[in-house]
Amino acid sequence: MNGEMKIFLEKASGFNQINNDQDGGWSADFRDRALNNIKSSGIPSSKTEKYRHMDMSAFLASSVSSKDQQQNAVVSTADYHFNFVGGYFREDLTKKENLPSGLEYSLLGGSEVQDILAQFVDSTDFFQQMSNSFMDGGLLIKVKKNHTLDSPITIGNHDPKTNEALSLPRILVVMEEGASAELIEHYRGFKGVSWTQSLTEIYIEKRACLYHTSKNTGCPTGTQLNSTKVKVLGAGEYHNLSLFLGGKKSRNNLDVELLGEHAHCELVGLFSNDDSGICQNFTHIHHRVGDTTSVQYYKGLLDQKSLGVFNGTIFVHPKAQKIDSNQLNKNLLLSNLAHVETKPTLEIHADDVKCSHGATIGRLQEDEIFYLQSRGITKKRAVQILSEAFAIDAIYKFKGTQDREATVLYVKEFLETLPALKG
Amino acid sequence: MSLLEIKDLHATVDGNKILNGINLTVNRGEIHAIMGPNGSGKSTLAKVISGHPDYHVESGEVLYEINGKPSKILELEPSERAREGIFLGFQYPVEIPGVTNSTFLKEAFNSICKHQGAEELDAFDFNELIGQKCKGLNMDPSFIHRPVNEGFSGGEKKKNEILQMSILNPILSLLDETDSGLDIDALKIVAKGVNDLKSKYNATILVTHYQRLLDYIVPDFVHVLYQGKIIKTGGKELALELEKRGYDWVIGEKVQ
Ligand SMILES: Nc1ncnc2c1ncn2[C@@H]1O[C@H](COP(=O)(O)OP(=O)(O)OP(=O)(O)O)[C@@H](O)[C@H]1O
Ligand SMILES: [Mg+2]
Repeated sequence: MNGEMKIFLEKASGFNQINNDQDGGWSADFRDRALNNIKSSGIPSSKTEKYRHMDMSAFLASSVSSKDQQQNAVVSTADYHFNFVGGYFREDLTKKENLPSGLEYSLLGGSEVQDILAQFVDSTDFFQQMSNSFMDGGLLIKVKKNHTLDSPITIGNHDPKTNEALSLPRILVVMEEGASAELIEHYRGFKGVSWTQSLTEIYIEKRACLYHTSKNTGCPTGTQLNSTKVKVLGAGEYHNLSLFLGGKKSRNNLDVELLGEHAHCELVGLFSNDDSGICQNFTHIHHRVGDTTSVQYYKGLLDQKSLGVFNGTIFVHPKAQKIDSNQLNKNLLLSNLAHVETKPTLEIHADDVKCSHGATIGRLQEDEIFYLQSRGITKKRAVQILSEAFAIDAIYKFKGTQDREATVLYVKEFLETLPALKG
Repeated sequence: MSLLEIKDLHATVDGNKILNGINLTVNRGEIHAIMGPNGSGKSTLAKVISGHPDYHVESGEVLYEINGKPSKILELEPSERAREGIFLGFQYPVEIPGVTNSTFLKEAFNSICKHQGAEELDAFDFNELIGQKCKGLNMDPSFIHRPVNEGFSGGEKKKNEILQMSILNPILSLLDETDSGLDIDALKIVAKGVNDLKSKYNATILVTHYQRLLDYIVPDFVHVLYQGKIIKTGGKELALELEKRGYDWVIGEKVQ
């Protein structure tokens, strides 16, 4: 066993001792299985393509905090129905009175969810295995059969303001048959050498539909990972908007499995960074059966020496005929030192398939800037207007949300901090 | 004092000499038409006056009246020239995806108001103003909410240039083939836009290939540009003659 693994295991056992030593049931087995998995497959090296630019040392250097320490942290929860503090779900902070009707929630851990959680287990997904080996409760949300929630469900993760830097929030969403809802998550990187790693698993039953926004506000010294794993049954729909703004390192892992005929997903993303920040996006769409459709639209806006990565894979499994899938990644570089790596991958094992993909990397067009200037708009302002339009366009591609105005504001506020657009 | 005075202007693009000694004086109240074969430098001249960064002035001077004084505008940023009342109607208007016409125009209008010390308009009053202008030009107001020029037909793009001109109310308008690709009704709209603005304070330079436009907008002067130089200047009858005889005879006269 190498040194890294040793530290990893010590951390996990430390975590489980302070939080979970009394519970011996299925969740202990669940964690053990994940830990054994990591033991046998090892901690991924940043030399491999899939885990490039990841630096586990920040995780290994972070410190584990106990749930008890977080119970008393005072945070402002004004904006969210459900609140995590330092990665722990704080049931006491839930705004019960504002919850839309048709929604049920509880601490994630009861044995009734173990079958669903087991279905999501993917031994090749290191970050999920990591979250599983540190599993301690979390939040379970259920939208009841044929219910349409009239307002979005909101979830926030708050900085405990202690020096504890490791934060592993976890959510399971179950959309029962015919249910329809909107979910908005907001994760923030914490000050210091922090490690925030969220896992959201979403089970969409037949004809159910979820609109899901994931806002991720990075911090200049922290690592932020967000894994979303989705299963969509027949005629179900999943719509995702992933926003990764700023931060030293951030990573978006988004896996969607289309498991029933006429299942559909639309994944829209915007990543933007400055300084020497890195934003990585790994999307995987599995068309497991025929007559399923998917759309991906990702935009990157990069300033200074930052790096954006888009790595999108579409798998069409054998016998999955009549597939329609398209993917587009557009990037705008605001500085000569910024760069983008974009890699669309198609793995197609069926023949009646319509797949398209494309990627562009460019700078603002001189002619566009001049057109605005010729109308009295300064060059600086022209660059702001054009960059903003490039970014906001992605948000408009995420149709059907009730939260657009707030999302646009959230993005604009971030863009104003980019050096190329400041002032 | 003249509104615009161009003296022996030489300019290059990508190292190619395009303008080879332009001299042109425009007074307030005048309308000038510039004609000339393809590639003779008409758009280049318009872009140099408005400050496009791709064009390099090698020598010569462009003076424009600001606050009652002739000012060297080649030193000004394009946005500063626009704020001083210079408007370029593009031969090929640029598409700006993601920015609506109304946002764009409001931004432009208010930046010019601010510079000139006039009060900025809020969204409500500004929409009112646009509504009026659209009506006056017989234009569909739904244009306003579409992204600037995106998916517009060639003629719609040109009409949009005229709408912008009438809202920004420039002192010197440079209209580069605003009449190309227009149907008869649209041509009348463009002419109306120009004629509505015409006053003893304003001046217009029209770049055109067709005498047809000049039936609606009567120029005081017609210039022929050839190989980066104005080789002939006349009154509106020169346009009629060019229409009949083409450019060869003018070029021939020049050579002799
Ligand atoms: N960016 C450029 N690089 C190289 N040559 C250029 C560039 N822009 C313009 N030119 C050249 O400069 C010359 C003058 O072009 P300009 O567009 O000014 O002509 P014009 O008189 O407006 O023609 P038209 O009647 O066709 O609009 C042309 O030969 C053109 O090819
Ligand atoms: Mg031209």
